[in-house]
This record gives sequence, C-alpha cells and structure tokens, in this order.
Amino acid sequence: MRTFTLRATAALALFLGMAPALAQSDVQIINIPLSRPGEPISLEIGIMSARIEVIGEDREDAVFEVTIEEGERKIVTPSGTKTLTNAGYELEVDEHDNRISLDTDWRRNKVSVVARIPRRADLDLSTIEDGEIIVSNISGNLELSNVNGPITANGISGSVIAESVNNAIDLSFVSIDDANASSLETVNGELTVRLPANLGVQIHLDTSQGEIFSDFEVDVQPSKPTVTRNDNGSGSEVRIESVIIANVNGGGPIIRMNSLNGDINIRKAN
Amino acid sequence: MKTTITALITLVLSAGTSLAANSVQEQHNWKDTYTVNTATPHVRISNIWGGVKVRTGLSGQISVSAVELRSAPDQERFDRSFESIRLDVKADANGVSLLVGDPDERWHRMNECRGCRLDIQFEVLVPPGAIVDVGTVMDGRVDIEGVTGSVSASNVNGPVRVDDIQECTSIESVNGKVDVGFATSPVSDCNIETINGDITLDVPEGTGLDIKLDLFNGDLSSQLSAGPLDLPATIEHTMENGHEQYRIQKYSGLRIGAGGPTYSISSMNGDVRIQKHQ
Repeated sequence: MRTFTLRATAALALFLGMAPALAQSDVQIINIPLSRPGEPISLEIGIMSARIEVIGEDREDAVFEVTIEEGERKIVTPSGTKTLTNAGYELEVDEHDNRISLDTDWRRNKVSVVARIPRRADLDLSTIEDGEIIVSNISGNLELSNVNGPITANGISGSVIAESVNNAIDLSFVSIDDANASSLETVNGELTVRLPANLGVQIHLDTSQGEIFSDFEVDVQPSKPTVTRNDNGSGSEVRIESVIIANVNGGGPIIRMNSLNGDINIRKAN
Repeated sequence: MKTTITALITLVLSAGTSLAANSVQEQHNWKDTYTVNTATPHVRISNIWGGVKVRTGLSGQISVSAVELRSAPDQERFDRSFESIRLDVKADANGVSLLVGDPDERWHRMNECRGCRLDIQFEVLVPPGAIVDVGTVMDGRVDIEGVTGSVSASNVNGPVRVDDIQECTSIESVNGKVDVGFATSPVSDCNIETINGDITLDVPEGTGLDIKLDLFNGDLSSQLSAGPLDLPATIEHTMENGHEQYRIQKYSGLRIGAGGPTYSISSMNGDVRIQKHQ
C-alpha cells in the first residue's frame, strides 16, 4: 500500500459517488520465478479495493491472475456525450529475495487478485473498500486486514492476526504456531475459529454485545482485569482489560478473539 | 559575441522590504548570438528560477537574451553561491545548451547555500527547424511559439504554453496548466502531462490522433469528432538491483478523427480539452 492517505482519499472519492460503472478487464497472468525456489516466501498485497485470494500449492514459483474492474469516462463531443471504457490503471508486482509485493496506483478501480504461491509463506494482505480476503493452505505467519469486507482462511498452519471493522472473520486451522499468538478482531462482525478436534489452545474472549458458542468443552480459567500503564512524554495511558480465558483441550497457544457487536464461534474443523 | 547590456550590483543593507537585512543582489543582463550550421540545431535550456520564452528567428543562428538576478541572504553566501549555482553555457555548430545549477552536479552545495538564488528570464530566438528542449522549476512560465522543429517543454510550479508548433515530444508540468497548440496536424507521438492543471490541446480541423488517457478528476471534451479506442493492457518486465518487476498498465483510449500518432495525456486534477484550431 503506497500510502494510507492516498487510499483514504480514494475511499472518500468512492464515498462521494464518483465510482464509475464497472466492466471486467481480461485476466492478466503474471508468472514470477523465485530468487530461492523451494524456500519460504513472503507476500505483501495492499490494495484499496480488492478481492484477494491466496492459494498455497506445491510449487516453486508464484502465479498471479489479475482482473481489474474498469471504469467509464464521459467525453463531450460535437455529436454528443460519449462513453469511454477502460479507465486507466497500473499494477506492479515486485520480487526480491523471495519477497513479493503487489501494489496498484492511486486509481479507484477494484482489483481481483488470485495468487498461487508455495505453501510456506508469510502473508501481509490488506484492503479497505468493498473487498474480500480469502486464504487457503498456507503455513506461516499471516497478517490479514480488511476494513469493510470479510476475511476467510482455510487450512492454515501458523499464526494469524486478522482485523476487520464491519465484517466477519472465519479462520480454520490445521495447526497453530506455539511461538506466536493469533488474534481475530472486528467491531461489527462475527468471529469464527475452526480447530482440529484434538488441538489444545487457550482462547481469550471479549465481546460486548455478542454471544459465544463453542463445539468444544471449555475450561474457563479464573481471570481478573489486567491493567497496563504506559507513561510517555505526553502523559500516561492506563488500560484496563477484562477478558474470558478458556482452555480448549488443556490449553496451548493463545488465540485472542475480540468483537464488539458480533458473536464468537469456536468450531471443530471438518 | 556576447554583449553585456547592464551590470548592476546592488548591496541591500536593511533597505529592501522583502529581503532580509544584509541580503545581496546582483542583476546582469546579457545577450548573445551563436552560429549554427545544421538544419536541426538543438536548443536546450534547464532553468530553475524564472521563465523561458522561445520564438523563431533567423536561420543559422540562435539568439539568447537573459536577465540574471543573483541573490543571497548575506555577502558570504552571495560569494559562495557562484560555486554552487551557475549558468553553464555550451555552444557549438550543432546548438546551444544553457543549464542553471551546479555544473558538477554536486547538488548538496546548493542546499548548503540556503537562500541563494539565480533567477534568470530567458528569451531565445531559434532558427527554423530547431529542436527545442526547455524547462524551469519555479517562478516562471515556459512559453514557446512558432517553433517548427520538435518541442519538449517542462515546468514544475507554473504553466507551459506551446503554440503554433508542428511536433512535440514531451510537454509537462506538475502544478500548472498545459496549453499545446499546433499550426499543422502532428504526425509523431507526444506525451502531455500535468498533475494539477488543465490540459488544452489545440489542433487543426481534420487532425487524427490516438490518445492514451490517464485521468483521475476532471472533465473531458473535444471539439473534434472523437470516439472510444480499445487499447490492450501491456505487461512490462524489468530487472533492477535484483528486483524482478512486472507492471501491468492499461489506459483509456480515445480516437480523434480517423486516428494518427499516439498522444499520451495525463492529468490528476484538471480538465482535458481538445480544441479546433481557429
């Protein structure tokens, strides 16, 4: 993502009703050889408005299938107003030392990206407006952010930090990284985590308005509010947080689930 | 032969209203004529502070008039500014190059001379057929008229006006409007670009162009017949410093008349008007 400011500006433009009518571009396919085939990669995609799907496969390269919704522009001519299709766009993919980034320019076209990459990968995926993030069969550390759309991840091994504001997050784990905690956070969406039947985790639950449902027997741990204090040059910040701590299958790596207005679901993975 | 018209050194000691106490100015007006012996001589001007005006003059010679105003916040920096900000003139039978700045391209020296400036207003007469490439950065306009060779013109904080030309290569501004007018229908490709400003393209009736448009905000109008043009997406692959880069680009297409050379027109915040030359 080039700058958040640019994206916020473009989001405002969309909000003000400047979004053009849409037509799909042809699918553009970019095949990227890796600097170090067979080794883990990292992938960063930050696009203002995007459907981002990342699929882990047994492969030693990366393939991106890109489709862009093209806009319209009117032109006033002597014979009347005409419509031009194919409003411009620019998209760039960069690979260096197994680190791949995909970025677009400041225009407001919605982008659809399907990335087929090696399974072992760290991901940093983000979108803001009218987007969707879907991840499957990836082993690594995932950071997924979608402000106004859902996040879905299946077949994940590792850790996930997933944030939305107005939509649901649904994560299905194969295994969880012992070293890194996972976190699901939304304001107005439902949170679902799907776990193998015998996987032990410790879940920190916090929802103000929603219900909590679990397929597992949970062992609720005694807990008391945690108080953290941060003193800095401009004053002090004191944070009091009260969460429900529940062990599943005797406990294990931490999964933090926080929703203001949505339900929290702890499901057994199929 | 170089003719110095006036040389005025003014030490301003607590007298100027817009200048700080002890600031120093020197104005130097000069005119020079350079003989060229090619049909397509080159004229290159790279200015920083001040405008550039180009017109067509006599065959076989390039005539340059310049009003130079050197200034600095104090005498010490004024003296030092001669090292870091200079007008470098190179001339031979093929053309003239006038570059303002640090001829050694040690740009940090300009930063060290904070507040130092060399404002120059250029007026240039070029022979018919001259290839013109001129630009400035601030506090001036680029104004070119009647040139018959290919034109490149740029400004950063100001307008660019190019009129009665026959061909262009690149006409650009960042914060300023761009007006490009043709005496005859262009036959070669050109790039016209600004970020914050309108673009007006003035061409003779019957002109055909294929236009690659890159617009964000702003309206689009044409006094000539125009219709959509399908431009396929392009994928560009580059390798730089160990980075494999793939760039997908696609533009809006617009065909003027029956089509012709490709014009790339780009503006972020401005209207684009294609006008019929009166």
